[in-house]
Amino acid sequence: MSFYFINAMLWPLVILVALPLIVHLFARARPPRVDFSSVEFIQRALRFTQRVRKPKDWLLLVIRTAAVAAVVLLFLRPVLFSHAGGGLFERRNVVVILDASASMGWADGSQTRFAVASAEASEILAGLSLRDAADVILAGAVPQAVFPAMGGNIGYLQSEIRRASLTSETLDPEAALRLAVQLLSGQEGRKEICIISDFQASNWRGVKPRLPPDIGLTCVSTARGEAPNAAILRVEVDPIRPLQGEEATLFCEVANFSGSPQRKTVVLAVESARSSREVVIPPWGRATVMFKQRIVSASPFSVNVFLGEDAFPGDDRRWAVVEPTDAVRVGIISSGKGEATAAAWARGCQALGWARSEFLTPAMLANPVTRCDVLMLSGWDGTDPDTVLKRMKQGVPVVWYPSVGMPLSRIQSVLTNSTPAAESGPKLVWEDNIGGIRLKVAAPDHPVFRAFAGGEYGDPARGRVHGRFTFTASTLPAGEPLLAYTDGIPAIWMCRGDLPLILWNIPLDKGLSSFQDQGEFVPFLGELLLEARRGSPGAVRPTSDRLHGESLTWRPGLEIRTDEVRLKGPDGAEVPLRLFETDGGTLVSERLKRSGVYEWMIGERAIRCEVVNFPVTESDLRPLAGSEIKGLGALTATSGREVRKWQAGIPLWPRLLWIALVLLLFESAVTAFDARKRSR
Amino acid sequence: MTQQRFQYLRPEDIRRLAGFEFAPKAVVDGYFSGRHVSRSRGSSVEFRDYRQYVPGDDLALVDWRVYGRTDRFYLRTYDHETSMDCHLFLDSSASMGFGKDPSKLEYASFFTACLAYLAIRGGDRVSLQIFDKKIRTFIPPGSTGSHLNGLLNLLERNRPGERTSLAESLRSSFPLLKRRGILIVISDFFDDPAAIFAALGPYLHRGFKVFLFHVLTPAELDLEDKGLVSFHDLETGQRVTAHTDDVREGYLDAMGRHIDSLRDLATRRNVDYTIARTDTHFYRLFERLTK
Repeated sequence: MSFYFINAMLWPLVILVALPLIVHLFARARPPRVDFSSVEFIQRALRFTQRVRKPKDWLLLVIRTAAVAAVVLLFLRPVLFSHAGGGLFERRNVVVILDASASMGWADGSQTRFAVASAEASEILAGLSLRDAADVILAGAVPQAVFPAMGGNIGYLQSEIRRASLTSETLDPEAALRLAVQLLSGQEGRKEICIISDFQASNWRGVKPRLPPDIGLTCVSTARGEAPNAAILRVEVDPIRPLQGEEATLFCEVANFSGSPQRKTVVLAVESARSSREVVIPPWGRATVMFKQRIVSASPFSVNVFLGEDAFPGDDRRWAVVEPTDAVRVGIISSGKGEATAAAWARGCQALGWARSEFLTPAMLANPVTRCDVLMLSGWDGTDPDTVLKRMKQGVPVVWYPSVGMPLSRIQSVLTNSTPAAESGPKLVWEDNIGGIRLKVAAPDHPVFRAFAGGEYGDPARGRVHGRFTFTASTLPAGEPLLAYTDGIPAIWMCRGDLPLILWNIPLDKGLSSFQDQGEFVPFLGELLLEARRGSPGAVRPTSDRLHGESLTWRPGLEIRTDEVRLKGPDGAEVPLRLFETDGGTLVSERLKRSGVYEWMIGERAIRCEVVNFPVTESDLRPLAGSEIKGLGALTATSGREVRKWQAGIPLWPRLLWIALVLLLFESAVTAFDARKRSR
Repeated sequence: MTQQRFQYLRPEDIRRLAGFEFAPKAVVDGYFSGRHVSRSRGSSVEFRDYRQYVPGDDLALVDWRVYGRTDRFYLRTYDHETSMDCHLFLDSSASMGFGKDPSKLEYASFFTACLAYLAIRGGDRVSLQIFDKKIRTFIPPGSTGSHLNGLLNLLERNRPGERTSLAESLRSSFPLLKRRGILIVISDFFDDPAAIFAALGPYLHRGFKVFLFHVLTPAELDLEDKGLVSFHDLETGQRVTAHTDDVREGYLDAMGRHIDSLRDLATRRNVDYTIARTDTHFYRLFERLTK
């Protein structure tokens, strides 16, 4: 807190404060002398009255002195800066970060948070003088400053604020702060950053502004009260690439961001067909709604899932693109002693008809262009798991026939993408069984065996095996055996977890097994491949949606002329594209502002569909607590007017005038009371 | 008796005093048979009591009628009327100089002069003591005209002196008074009431009839409004600056308590106490002392 005096040259007037004291002293100096018989009784009376009188005299003296001081200070015109960094004669550089993220679209009453924030930003800018400089950053996924450098045209900034529109983007607070610091660097005078935001917890929690010490930070929160909201968080298709004729499942996750349960109707729109489900979402909870959709053709199509609109409509609608396939692409990688097994898998796939196997090299697997719906690894020892893991994370199931002598811990390390703690632990031990051992179905209720339940496809466990790995269930990751040897050792182990992994413990070499020679092998392999592509019930695979504020990119390849390609937006309008000549030509769209399905077109033909959805992080509208906002190392204000007062200072002369008047009235009252008492 | 003109006994006062007779109810020791009742029983007309005859008594005093009824000798005794000694104590301390037209001392001097005149005119003896912190002048009792002249001359020459010490003056004058009689103290009593009555104790024990006349001016009783003034004590020279409005209430309270204290002690000791306001005529005070 600091004071500045506009009329500091009048400081000598402060001497007038001593006036009441001087008058007080001189008024008592020479009273007339009166002879009296004895002053003893007067002295007695005086001893009593002085106890009452003296405080009254002091009170009057204090009141008069304070009144004169108030009047003198009034003429000095003090200005109060209640917070550090205030100053009257210093040039100010103010950067206003205006949060334009999607959450600012919530309306607390009649105005959206963004409208309130815009008004507050204008108010703060209005407090600047002609010598000050300012800039405004519209903060979304990518912060954008109105001026490339600090400028003095406050009117233009205010008009830009009026013209600014809300985005459906998520907020990148740290990028906005970095840009603000960059704008302020090298400026002379006071430097201030003022953030006007709803301080949505999902965006701001964990943000630690690292500002230079000469930059002050002020936060103005526009969030008022609760913001009950319901949103569709995810729409996922299972399997990711459903086979033509297959029944795919659409998982729609809906969330309730309020303290009371909400009943919502979730509607799925596929072209002109619609289906709906009702769901009750618990307070602050989530629910998943499933829709079954028969895939009739191999052409991609979009689905739209939506809720009844609420006060925050942006997140009530979500799109997904279903890309069916006419054949399951099975990538097979063989290494070491796994060639025979890989070959048997490939033969099995060929026999299926709807599966196309392809032998891949690790380099081919690493190429994202290589399409692979199921990956089968034969003889792989678990080294260099990154590319495999990347595919698994994209929802590609992996069937793994391990390598002899591989440490058991490597299976777990592949699943957790970590370096095994002890490579010297127990290893996979190969056991030759000359007599052969039979298999049995360990999980007859598993969907893999549904087709075999009637018996028309035979016994999927038929065959005899003469060699195997001797791992036990306790040494494997969590999961369940589909097939097992009669002595209980797992033959096919389906891991249970986020990553789809099946461990294969049946050698398909001639002489080691007759399993692949059985007629049941092919249908079993087919059922296994179909089921492996499906996620566990309730487990939703990671999304690859684009978000608002991002750009769509496409590298069409050499066979397509880039000037023929255009991008059609959800509203049918063409989205401007830019061509980057790197990598044979990459098309990049401008930043996307609308949710929906975007189609890459050549002529009138849609080549590729991409979806832009509302950012999930913007749906939870809960703001940071006041203490957390203070934790950003900032001053917190309730309005732009308050910030303006802090920055421009509060003129105190009206208050001093009031104080002087009240003191004089009080003095008059005390004097009148005294006179009335004397007259009695 | 008073041919020449005196300041404190003017001809008009003498004319006016013709209608007064100095007759305080007091028992005295006197030299002459007179109007005042004496403790010494004798052959006067006022019957006092009977007492049994003892050998040596005058047979003429035996009441033969009582002997005839009771067959016992009883003597009739009578109160002896005698002349009275009137001892006047006049406070002449500096504080008595307070007040104008008249000052307290002038007022007291008028009263003292008239009292002396009345007493001497009635054949009684009058003594006068002028004191401040000690006895300044003592004139022994006398009842002649020249004695009165001496008293009046002394009063005229008298001026306010130093501090009041009534108790000390009373104590030191006690041995000077040979006969009991009336003790009249005219003062402003700026002394401790308890000390004053302690000093009066021996007089009362000896049978003096004591009259206290408390001389006060209206200014002292009411503390007139003078605003902020510096009060100058006439006795001590001390100065006190105060606003009369501020101290009036406390002053009147303190003065009231002082007067009440004197009045209470006087009532308990059977002493006559009267406030003598200088704005009232001193003739009003004779009501306490004359028939």
